[in-house]
Amino acid sequence: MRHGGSGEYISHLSWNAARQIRSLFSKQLASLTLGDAGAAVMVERAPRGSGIDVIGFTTLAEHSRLCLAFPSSVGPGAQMYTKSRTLHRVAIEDMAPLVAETIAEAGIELGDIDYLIPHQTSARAIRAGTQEFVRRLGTSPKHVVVNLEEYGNTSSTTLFVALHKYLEEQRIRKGDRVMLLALASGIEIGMAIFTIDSLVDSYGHTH
Amino acid sequence: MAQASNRQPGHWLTLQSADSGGPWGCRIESVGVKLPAERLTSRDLMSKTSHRTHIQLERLTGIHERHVVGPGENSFTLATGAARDCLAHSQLQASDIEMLISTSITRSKGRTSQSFEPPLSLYIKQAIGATQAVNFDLSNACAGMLTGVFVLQDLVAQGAIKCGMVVQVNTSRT
Repeated sequence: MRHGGSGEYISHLSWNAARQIRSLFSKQLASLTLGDAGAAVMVERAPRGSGIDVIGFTTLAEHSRLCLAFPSSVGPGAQMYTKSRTLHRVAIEDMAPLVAETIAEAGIELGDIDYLIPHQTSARAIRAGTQEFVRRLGTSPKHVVVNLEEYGNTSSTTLFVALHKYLEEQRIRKGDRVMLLALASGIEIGMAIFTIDSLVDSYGHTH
Repeated sequence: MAQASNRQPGHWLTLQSADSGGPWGCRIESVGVKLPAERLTSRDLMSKTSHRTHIQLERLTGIHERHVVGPGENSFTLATGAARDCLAHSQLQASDIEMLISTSITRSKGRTSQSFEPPLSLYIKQAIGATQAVNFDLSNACAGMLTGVFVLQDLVAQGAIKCGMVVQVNTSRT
């Protein structure tokens, strides 16, 4: 199906939301933030003690009803219902001790992170979350990556789309410590800390 | 996860670290991305709402525009494009990949809005020539890609495999 004249498919999840949404308080508001992207990551064996410093996951199932997606009732494709304000509040509240645990496992402080790359939902939510982590942990990551302006929320590719862009632009350099922060319906929370190694050598030559 | 810590009082995450006990470390070797060419601004999206919403989406979220798939593009084409970009930045070959995991929420392929079986990872593997790879799909919403890395990290650290790839695509136009 095509949207009148403009060539866009009306089955797009955002279009389904656009047809139904009435106000700022709509539970489909988050559907309007989604963008499309593909990402891939290759991992390989490295000497013990090198490579990914820490990687971890947890599930906060008591909040599982805050973000639901299923086939649309108004057309082809899907629709997604998110209680965005509650989701952000509980995510920030519950993530702070998890961030503390992860950086402690890595034997560092939050201030030792050169680039914090969080899941991209809204710039305001990322700022609020970062402020809360800083308030609780006492130090601040040197950079917090926000790439929403040109990509929107590209689901779980966001972390790697951001990493790829910063590598290509040679903003992330060898020796920089990066922390990835995944947040998903469930609520699923994932974290990874690693130090940039010769990975950077393959990027930035096209600029 | 053999070396993962179980959840204990005061210990909230299932964590694996470089010191977890496996004989090897696991490094991120390369990253690839494929973005659709077509873009959609927040202004254009909000100009097509059925109701007068008064929502200033860009001001609210910081999103000026997003890439959206066009005709001929789908989950499979974006995933394969990202995997090829990853290989282009890699010192390794497709034939070195021992495990390929697709964590895509959407699985559109060809003219099919959702291809359920066989898994999308199989088609990606065939398209890039990862002939040695075991493949499977893994679903974990917006945390899928990092979950894939989490699984591979353990297998690499234990010495079960030397090299693996995770591919994820999000095409909200299913």
